[in-house]
This record gives sequence, structure tokens and C-alpha cells, in this order.
Amino acid sequence: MKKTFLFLTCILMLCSMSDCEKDNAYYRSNALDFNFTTAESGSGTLFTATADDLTERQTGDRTLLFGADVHGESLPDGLSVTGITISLGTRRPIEAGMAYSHGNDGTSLKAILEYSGEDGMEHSAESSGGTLKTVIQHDRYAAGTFCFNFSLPVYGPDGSIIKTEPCRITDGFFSIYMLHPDKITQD
Amino acid sequence: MKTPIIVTMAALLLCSSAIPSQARGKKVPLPERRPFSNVALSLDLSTFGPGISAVTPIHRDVSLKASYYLMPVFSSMQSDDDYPIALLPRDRAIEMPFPESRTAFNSNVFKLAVDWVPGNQGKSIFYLSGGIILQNTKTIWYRETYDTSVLHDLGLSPEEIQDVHIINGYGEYRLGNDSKVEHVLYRPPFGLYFGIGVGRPIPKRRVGFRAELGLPLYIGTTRVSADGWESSHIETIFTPFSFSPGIIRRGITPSLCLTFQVTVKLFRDREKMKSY
Repeated sequence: MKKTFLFLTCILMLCSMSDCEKDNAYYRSNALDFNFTTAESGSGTLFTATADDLTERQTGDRTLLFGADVHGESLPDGLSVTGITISLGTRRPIEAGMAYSHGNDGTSLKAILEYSGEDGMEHSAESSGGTLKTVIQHDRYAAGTFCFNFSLPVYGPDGSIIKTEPCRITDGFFSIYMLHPDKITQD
Repeated sequence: MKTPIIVTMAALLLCSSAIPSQARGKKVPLPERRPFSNVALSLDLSTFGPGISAVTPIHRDVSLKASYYLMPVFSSMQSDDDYPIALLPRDRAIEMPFPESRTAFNSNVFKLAVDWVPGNQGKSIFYLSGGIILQNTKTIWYRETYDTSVLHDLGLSPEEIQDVHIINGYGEYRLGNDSKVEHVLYRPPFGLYFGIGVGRPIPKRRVGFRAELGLPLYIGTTRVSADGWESSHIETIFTPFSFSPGIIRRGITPSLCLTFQVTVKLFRDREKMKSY
């Protein structure tokens, strides 16, 4: 009896080892990252988020919603990007290998950027245009690329808007295990 | 354990060579066995696989036998147990689509042996066999072929794709320039063969039956090679061989082999009367 138990334990341990390796690899990696470029900085600044930083991750046949708190270096004018949320809604089921743009064939695509200015307050801005491509989508998993344009209001120390900065997100990447909306309500 | 088997076989050999008392003094017809005087072909079913053999006498008690066994088993499928993870540059990881998996066992064995029928002027139905084995070396392999178009779509250059690491259920591999990860088991190309059997090399009638228990002694190296292998997750009794590349065994590797043959004699035997 003891031997049988030991044997079964060994099987369970060995069978789960490869999954552990894969889980570790996934959680060590970026779930989401992008380059953020302002007109003033010129060069892109990398912002990243791991699976633990995810704040949203929902999917349905025609919807995709994900967001995360991101980490990266500070930008000029005291700008600091703190988070991003991207939502996609389509008329047809979302497919791997498709690129989606806002307004194209009834598609709704937007990114909301969360950032703080010199006033120390949290602000958000909605994208003025962009593209998202789902490269892989199976079961509850989705991975792809994105890029967005923003016109970012820049706040001064007194909380007033001192200028509007054109910004771009380029080379965006996401790799996320999504949850179905009904699953989220159960959780 | 081996001793009783040897004693039993020796007793059977002696019994089979014993001359029945009622046959003593009588003249009985015996097939005339001269070098290459007849040929028997056989269909074989062996642990080497299905095969064919040809036997010809080279002496009254001795026959030369050439056999060829072929056992190709291929399984091509799309693995659906678990999605592999691909580690990309810039700390990115993705769950790759299922790769196309191919598992193969391919064995080609050529055996050249001399069968000796001891005693009783070649009439015994037991025989001893000895010879050599030549075989293919690449025997078992497992291959996963990945669709790298998704990596192109994620903006990776061909050089970056080569450096992508795949983590599947067995280990971690570098994808390389062929988009494949592969494990291959190589076995020794050469072996000595010893066997003991029942049934006449050239059957007395048109069709005969033989069974043979063999002891192949393979001489050389058994090793595993892996394409792009970085590390293994499992080396268990559940896998047919260690997934870590390297030499599994060097030197002489004994084995066992069982063969059944249906033998057809091609020509009528010349017979001569022989008195005991």
C-alpha cells in the first residue's frame, strides 16, 4: 500500500514538474510591454508589466479587455506612465492573425493611458487612434501586438494643463491568460 | 535459472538425435545435403519485426541463413496535451500553437547466420545458430515542428527566432534555424548473434515451421542526441529513454530475440538411402 502511494506521488510530482517550469517561465516574463515616445523625449521609453500587475483580463467571442499597472523610467515634464487599459469590441468573432483598428468594420478599439504629472495627481487619456493585432488566440489565451497615438494633456505643479503633448505607443506586446466575464463574477 | 533451460535443451537435443531401436539396421532415405543443393525461403515474425529469410545448405549439418527484418512505425500527429511556451527576447513569453509532432521507430536488421544441426546426420529438428547482425543506428526519434509565422508576426527577426527557447513537456530547447526540436536514439550498428531453435533449416516436406530463441550481443554505443537541447524537466521511467543527450551505454549490450518462421523449400531434395 505504501509503495503504491509512493508510486502515485512520484507520478503526480513528475507530471506536474513540466507545468511548473512553464508556469514559472510565464510569470517571470512580461505579460505586457510597450515603448512610449513623446514628442519631447524623442526616443522610446520601455514600460513593462508582469502577470501579477494585470488589472483587467477579460475575453469573449467579440471582446477583449486587458489592463495592467506598468513600470518604467520617468519621462520629461515630470510625466510618469502608471497604467494602461486596452479594450477591443468587434462585430465578428475575434480571430488570430487579424489586425483591428478603431472604426474599421464596426470595430471599437481604444486604449486608456494612466499617468501622473508634476501635480502628483493621477490622470488618464484616451487614444486618438491605433491598431491591435491578435497573433495567437486559443482557449483563454491571447497574444499580440499593438500601437496607439495619444494627445496627452500635461499638467503643471498647480494642476493646470500647460500643454498637450503628442505621444505614441509603439512595439506594444501582450501575452495574457484571459478570463471569461462569467468566470470573473464567480471569482 | 539458466541451468535448467540449458539442461532441458541438451536433453531434447540428445533425444532428438537418438536413433529409434526399430530403425536400427534399416535403410532409410535421407536428403542429400551438398553445398547450395537446395534453398528455402521463409516469412518471419520476430521481435526484430516482420522479415524474410533465405537458407541454403553448405554442409550436411550446416546451413547458411540470411535474414532481413523491417519494422517502421511512424506516428504523425498534432500534440494536444499542453501548449509549449516560447521564451522571446526582451523578457517576453508566449504560449505557442501546438507543434506538429512526429514519433518514429524505424528498425532495419540484416542477419547472417550459420545454423548447425548437431548429431543424427543432420536429421535432428533442433539446431544452434550463430552469426552477425547489421542494423540501422537511428532507431527512435521524436520531433516537434513549430510554426514560426507567429514569431514573425510578433516582429521577431530571423536571427531572433533562432534564439527563441521552447519549453515543452520534456525540457527546454533552442529553436534554431530549422524550427524543430528533436530527440534521437542511436543504437549500435553491429552485433553478434547466438540462438537455439527448433525446426529444420530446409524442411523435410514442402512447408515447414521454425522457432528460434536468440541472444544478440550488440557491440558499440547507444546514445541520445537532441537538437537544440538546453535542459530536461523529466528523466523518468515513463520515457523510453533519458531525454538528456549523451551516451546511455557503451560496449556490449545483450538482448533477447524470438523468431517464428514459416519455411518453404524451393526444390525437391535428392535422397539417398542410408543404413543405421
